[in-house]
Amino acid sequence: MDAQNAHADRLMRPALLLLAGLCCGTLAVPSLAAGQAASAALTQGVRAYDDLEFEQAAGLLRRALAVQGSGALSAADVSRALIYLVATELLRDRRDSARAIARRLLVSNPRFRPDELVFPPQLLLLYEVVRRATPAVIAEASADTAIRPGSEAVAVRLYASSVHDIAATLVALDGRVVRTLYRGPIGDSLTLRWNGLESAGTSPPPSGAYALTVSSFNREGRVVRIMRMPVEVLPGPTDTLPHPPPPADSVLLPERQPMGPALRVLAPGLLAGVGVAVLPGLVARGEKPSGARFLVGGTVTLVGIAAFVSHRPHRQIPANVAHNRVIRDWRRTDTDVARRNSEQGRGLIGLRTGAPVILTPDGTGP
Amino acid sequence: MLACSTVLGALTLTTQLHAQSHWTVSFGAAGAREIVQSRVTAQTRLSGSLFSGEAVATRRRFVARLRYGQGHITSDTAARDLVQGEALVGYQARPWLHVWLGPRARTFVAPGLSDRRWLFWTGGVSARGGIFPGRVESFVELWHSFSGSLNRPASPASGSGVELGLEARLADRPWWLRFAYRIDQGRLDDGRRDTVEGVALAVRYVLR
Repeated sequence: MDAQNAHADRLMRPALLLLAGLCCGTLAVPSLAAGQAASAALTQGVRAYDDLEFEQAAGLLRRALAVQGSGALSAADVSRALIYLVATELLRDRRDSARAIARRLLVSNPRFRPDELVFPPQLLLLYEVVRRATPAVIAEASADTAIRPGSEAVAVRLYASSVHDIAATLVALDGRVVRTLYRGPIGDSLTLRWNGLESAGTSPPPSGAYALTVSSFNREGRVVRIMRMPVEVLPGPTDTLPHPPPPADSVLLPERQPMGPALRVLAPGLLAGVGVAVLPGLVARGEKPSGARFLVGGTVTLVGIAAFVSHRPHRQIPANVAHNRVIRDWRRTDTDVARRNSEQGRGLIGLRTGAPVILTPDGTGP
Repeated sequence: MLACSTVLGALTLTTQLHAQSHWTVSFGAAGAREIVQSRVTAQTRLSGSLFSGEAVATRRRFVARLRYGQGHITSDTAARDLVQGEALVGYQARPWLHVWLGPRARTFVAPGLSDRRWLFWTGGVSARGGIFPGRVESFVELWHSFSGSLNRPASPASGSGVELGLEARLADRPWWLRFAYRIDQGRLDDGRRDTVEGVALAVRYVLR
């Protein structure tokens, strides 16, 4: 029975490995396929549109737009899919649907303009009408920068879908207005400049998270869109100059021979010399020890003195002096770099911006 | 003769001990110039030579030391043989400090007279200090008797002594040279005493 079980085990092991491999493949393939399917569906949808297969094109383009997550279309492909879908719906004589999709395209990408060589004039006209009726703004700014508040400014470029009025403010996360940056009309684009100071114009806001909000108004003066870009105010960068690499060993060594070891070798010799002079008199009471003891005592003392001298107390140690010079040079350079970084970083604030989002308040539109 | 047998036995024993692990054994031989000032029966000053041997066995902190020596001392009018020995056990209380316990004896042998023998039960300390550490050391050893006796005239006695000097190790070899001065005195309550001092040159071989 054991032999049969062992044989069965040998047969089962490859089968189990194969099964595990198939399971892993089954789990991995859909996510890969989804990513490829979105772009493939877009390509097929565009081809169907070119072949005037509008039903099929609409289905494929919607399928491409429906893919979410890692397999989703890029922002540029979303715009491309949407404009083809607008054209498809328009040519299918679904004008309301085409307008709604065009509005969606404008809100997601206010800068988008359809290619006049690719799309028919009726689409260009529809898109233009929707664009004029759909005020929206998108912003671009450097992701990470530093400015000296008051004397320098950070620039944020705004791009509008159409001419309309906007109000740009920097707000704290609790809604408090930190600084009103602009209020007025915007044409194609506009550059906002913020000098890094609060409304009082005296100091920068405390470090923390803020948001640049740009409200788009319709002709009646109602807010129809809000573009919100996260802005993080950071303490000024301090280490703009690199610090020198530390030496392998940054511990200072004694530059002169210490006195301690020399005294430690001198002491036994001296004590023995003193002992020779004193102890025999104490041990042999009533006798006068011979002078022979001084021969031994003197020898011990002389050897002790020789040992003391051989240690050369307070003599310079050249290797340690060179070692310490390297460390002192490094420390001096490091301190100098830290000082210069501190001077350069004084008064600076760091600014970091995030990806903007466009919100449409409820009950407003288009 | 008995003493010679004892030393030979000790040497044999220490060699066997060294054959076992954890033991360190050394042997030494010394020659010394001795001066004896005796104020027991008459005031005399004698001088001469003494040759001695020693064996030291060490296990961890414990030490056993045997020394035996004999020599001949003379003056213008007298001559004596001098025999002395000690059998001590010691404990290394600190790396530089030893405490010693054990008997020390000295016998003066004069022709036509019975021997005069001092016997002491002693305790002592010895200290060492490295002058050139591992190569040259100085040392000092002090001892004093707990009890003692003199056989002629029979009387309780006391004694004390000191030895100090220099030990140097021959470069990278297990041989040590010792240059030492030693003085010790046995005395009776009535003031009679024998004082022996000497300058010794010794060589010691350490088995490892």
